[in-house]
Amino acid sequence: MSQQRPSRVRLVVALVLVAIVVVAAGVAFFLTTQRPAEKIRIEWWDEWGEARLKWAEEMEAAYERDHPNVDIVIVEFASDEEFKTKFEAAIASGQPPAVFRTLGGGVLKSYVDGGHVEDLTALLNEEWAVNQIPRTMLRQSTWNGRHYAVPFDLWAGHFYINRELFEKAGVQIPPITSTWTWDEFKAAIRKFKEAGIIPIAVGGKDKWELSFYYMYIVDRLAGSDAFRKTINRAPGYSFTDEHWVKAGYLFKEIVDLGAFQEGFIGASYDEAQNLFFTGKAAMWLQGPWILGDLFASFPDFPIDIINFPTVPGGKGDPTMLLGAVQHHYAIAKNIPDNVKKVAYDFLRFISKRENIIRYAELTASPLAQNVPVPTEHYPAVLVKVIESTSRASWLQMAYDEYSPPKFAQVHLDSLAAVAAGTMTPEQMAEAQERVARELAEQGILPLEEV
Amino acid sequence: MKRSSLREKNKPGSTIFFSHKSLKNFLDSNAGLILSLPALAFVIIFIFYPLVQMFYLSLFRWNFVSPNMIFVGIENYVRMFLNDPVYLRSLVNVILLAAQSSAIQIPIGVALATIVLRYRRIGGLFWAIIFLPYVISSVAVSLIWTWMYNPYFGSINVFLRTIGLGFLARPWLGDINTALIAIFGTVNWIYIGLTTTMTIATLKSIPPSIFESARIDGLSGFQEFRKITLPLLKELIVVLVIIDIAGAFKFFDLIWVMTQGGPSDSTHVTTTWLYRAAFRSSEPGYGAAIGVTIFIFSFVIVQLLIKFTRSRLTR
Repeated sequence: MSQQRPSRVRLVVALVLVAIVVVAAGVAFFLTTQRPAEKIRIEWWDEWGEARLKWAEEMEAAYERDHPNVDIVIVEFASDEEFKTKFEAAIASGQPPAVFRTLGGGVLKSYVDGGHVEDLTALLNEEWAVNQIPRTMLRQSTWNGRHYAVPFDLWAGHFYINRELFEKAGVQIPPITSTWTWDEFKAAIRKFKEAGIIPIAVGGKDKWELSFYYMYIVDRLAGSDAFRKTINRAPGYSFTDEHWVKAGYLFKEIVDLGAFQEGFIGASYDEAQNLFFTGKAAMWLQGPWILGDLFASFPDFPIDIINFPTVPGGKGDPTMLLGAVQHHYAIAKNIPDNVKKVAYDFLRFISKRENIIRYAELTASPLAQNVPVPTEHYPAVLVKVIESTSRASWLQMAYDEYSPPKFAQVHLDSLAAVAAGTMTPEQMAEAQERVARELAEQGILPLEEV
Repeated sequence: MKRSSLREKNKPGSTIFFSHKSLKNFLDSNAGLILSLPALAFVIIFIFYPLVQMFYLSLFRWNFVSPNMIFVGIENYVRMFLNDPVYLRSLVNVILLAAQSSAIQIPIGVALATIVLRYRRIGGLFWAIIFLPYVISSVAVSLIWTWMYNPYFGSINVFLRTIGLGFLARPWLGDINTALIAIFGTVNWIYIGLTTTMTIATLKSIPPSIFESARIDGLSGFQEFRKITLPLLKELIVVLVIIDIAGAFKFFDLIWVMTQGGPSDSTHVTTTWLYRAAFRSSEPGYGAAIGVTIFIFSFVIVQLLIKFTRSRLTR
């Protein structure tokens, strides 16, 4: 009887019952999560870090005091990667955070193209914004004349140096206002090695630190336009052009000279930081974000900054710096209108002069907005960074932030392979050109008209 | 339709469910199935559905955020096998990982288990120490070993220099020739404890009379091991090999923390390469295609081994 019932019937019954269970569970879930909204909830997403988180909490408290109907929810991420993954999942599930940070560039462009980012052109053309936010600072978040994010701070890449080790090895410190040559740079490396000091610390595992060298060398060789033109497929530009290959060889030259610590290709950021902070390495090519940690542990560190050297036969302007607008805030497009309205207001609030000054005080970073900060709020070396940045003829945005993620990965991976000696600079140039062509065929490149 | 008329049509034993008798029958005969429905629902939602979805996604080119997913057919698979040396390298690394795990952890595990059981007085403490690494979170283990391998501060190099083997000191994780070996070292350090424990459990379930009679028959310690212990462990060894292979295909956290697949892509396994493709290069379609191959490879290998085990063990 029922024991002999054909198994197909059983299966159908089972599946129907499964469907019922699933639907019931879904309905139950839906019913329990639909609560009446008491307050307007603004999620504010960033990869904060200690100093910026403190600022965010102050902003939250101040804004909620004036707007009791608003609940600002600060959501914290441990790394850029975690932020990206969660953010993309939130977009896909249709529940993006109202306000989120972005570094601009290729990643933001892909969100804009996907229709997930609010067009902030009107906000940025309000009078306060026109006065306070220089238009050049919008470069990384503007496409087809539309602005998508409010820029907050800048970074610039310099060699951070340990003055004591320079003296110990008898290496002259080239002043930040002048340049030094590739030969002087190599001579310094040799002197440090003779003195038993690691010339340069670098965390090669994460690869972006290696990329700093390559980008600087390319700009020194071929000028600031080279990358933007080549990646955006300007006619007559190719990654196989001579300077791309030559940059690889110059980078390889200092690798072979032993400029970096032993095993640098497998070393993490923390390991490089450790070598520099504990006085084992003389130089570290980095951005001003290292200073917070440095002064927290070594308040009397003999820190200074110097420029990246020029290269033989280079056509680039030596005052150009690696750097960019770093943190921007943007608003998600697909959120309810009442939330969006508050998000706009909140962006205006955190951009108020006193709040920007507070940001500078707490984070000790150079600002992307035109708000004068009394210099006593900054450590002396940061004042140097800011002055050097204001002298720069061009800020070269990091390739891995400017380009589409796929190009960024190929760039980083092949440079690490050149450092390890498993790829030649020619092969690296070809790999970059190949992926750029592929992305152009898919319509992802160019990112902008050049 | 009135219920009575329904019942009239409904002869005993027919398959209409909602008459009293057949409903009761149905519930009786399918109690197991019905009780397992919630679990089945979870399996379908969280395992079968994602698998199907992964296969579906592997046929597309997409970047997570774009509204258009471009159907590319098997392009992702073609690229993987014809145009992606790192993927092939990662497969080789998975095979190496599985092979070295079996070849090193199982003999050492068995040897340690024999020691633990022979010297019972200190054996328990010894066992606890061997098992300890397995209990530590693998990210913590990875960070500890990363520092131990550090060329400047790492205890391994300091130790080598102290005992006069300084020429062996090197940046273990920063050298393409040693990074993979260094990772294997850490893997074995973690998992030998597990192998030992499983062997001890198996050996304890063997009746001691077998060993006693062997001793009465005059077998030496080594003969006893070879003729009695080892054959009794055969089943366990097959299980351990399966665990090693399956483990190699899903291995991720340790490598990601220690090297991120570097230097120069020399330590990628399939999962780390998948992660990089999907989340670093923002190519979820390609990542899904790698996931599909991981699924197929591990499925086939485990099926083969189970079949092999059955035929061998029931003999």
